[in-house]
Amino acid sequence: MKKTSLALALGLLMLNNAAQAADINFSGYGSIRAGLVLGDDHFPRNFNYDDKIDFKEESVFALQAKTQINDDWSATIILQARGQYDFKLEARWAYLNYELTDETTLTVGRFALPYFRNSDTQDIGYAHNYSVMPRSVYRGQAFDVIEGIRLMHSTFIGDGDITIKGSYGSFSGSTITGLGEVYSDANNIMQLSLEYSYDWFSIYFGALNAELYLDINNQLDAALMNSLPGYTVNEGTVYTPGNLAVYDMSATYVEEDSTTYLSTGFTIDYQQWLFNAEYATYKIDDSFSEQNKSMYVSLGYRFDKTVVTLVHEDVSYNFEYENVSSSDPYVNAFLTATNNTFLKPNEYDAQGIHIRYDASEGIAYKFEYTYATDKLEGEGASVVTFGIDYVF
Amino acid sequence: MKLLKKICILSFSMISFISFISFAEVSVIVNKGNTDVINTKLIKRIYLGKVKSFPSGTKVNVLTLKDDVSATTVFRKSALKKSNSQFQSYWSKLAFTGKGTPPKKMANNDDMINAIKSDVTAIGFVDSAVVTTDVKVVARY
Repeated sequence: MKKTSLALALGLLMLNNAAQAADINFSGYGSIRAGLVLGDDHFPRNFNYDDKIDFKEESVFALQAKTQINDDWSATIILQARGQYDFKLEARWAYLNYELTDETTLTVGRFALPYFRNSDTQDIGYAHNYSVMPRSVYRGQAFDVIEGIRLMHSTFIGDGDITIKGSYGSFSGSTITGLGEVYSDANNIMQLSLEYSYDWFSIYFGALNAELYLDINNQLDAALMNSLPGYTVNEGTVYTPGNLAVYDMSATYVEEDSTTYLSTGFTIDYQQWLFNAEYATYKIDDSFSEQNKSMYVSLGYRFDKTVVTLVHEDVSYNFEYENVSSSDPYVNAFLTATNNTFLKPNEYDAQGIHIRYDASEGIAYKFEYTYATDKLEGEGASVVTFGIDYVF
Repeated sequence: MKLLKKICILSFSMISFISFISFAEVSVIVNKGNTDVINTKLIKRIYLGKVKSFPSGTKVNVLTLKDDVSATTVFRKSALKKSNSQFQSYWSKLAFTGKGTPPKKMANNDDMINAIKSDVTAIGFVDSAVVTTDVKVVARY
């Protein structure tokens, strides 16, 4: 409801403005991407393709309407439909921008949360040379849009320039987890990033912290009682069949737990060579979550209208099982299995080649061949995607 | 040595000739009433959305020609070191994240000159061959 009303309010504001003969500027971007796994022995989990060609998973269409209210204020809405969500229309961005100075902009409303360097532009296929931004870092974050404020400041330092971004806000909605789609809530989201760009290179640091709640308690309780007959969970305390309290589930639940993301990136665009690397690490404290480490490195070469990029990506976790702290070995076995069930399937590495061909104004063709290995089974498979990215 | 020199001169003139025939020179133009000092560094920053005002403090109205006009390719390649698609890709990142508005597209040289003539805050570029005395040239590429 919150999303809809905000989007509606901005929409009305724009229409009202249009009636007063201001210009509404329409633009947009999108991608039609088809992919499949070659062979049917194993389907890499983090790619979500199987041996039948699929046009939906990574296709997206977006339309932006922007209007300048006066010299300082502008209103923007981006309506986006993702194949992954059955092309259900969502107000991906809906915000007011206030230009405090030429160098400082305040954004208020709903916007993509810049977890990582390219999080706010990852949906714009045309803006990068990959088929999609490397999935190790960019696929499936729990809450990727927030409602709040963002302050952005850019300034020159010598021949280079520095951009500082800070955001504050909250998120509520459903999130895809190992337990399927669950309701989640993130409060006091604070994000800070810093990027320095010089002519041919740039460096980035980002940090994000939030208080997270995932509605999985009942499912976890049910899973425990199902796995350990005779055991009960009452108000978050686990009791043995002999009615002995042996564990406080709050060490595994995600309830107002602090989550921290740290990321860094480096790019080089020198003559025809392109190098890009990013590393991110994150964890939800006091929960089943373990320290995630995601990275990718890529090396590209630009030939006239074609860019060829080699990509290596990796996702792994530091399994420390801090929440596995019951005095009962059976409960500990259940907790260990829970952490593993949630997180082990996400571990993979992949090597791929991505080709971009600039076909005509605003149109780029993309091709990708990637060999991805799921570490859990130690099994890999080839994923192939073809796409058309556009902007207008 | 003499031979080497001759070869060098010859190659250089050939290269110049080739670049001359394939790429006409481009002039960056502003309104005649614009008294700001505008150098190539500032031009680059303006076209990449990193500077939004002239040194005098006036907001810049940034104009470009359409992608299929040859002056556009020459200007972006020489002044910004970007191909048309790199330019568009760069701007899409800013335009869809609330960081800026891409330069306005003018259909042809005449429209560009007229727009510059009538707007003291505008900056644009045209093929040097069509520059008139109605506008002020601040840089050539």
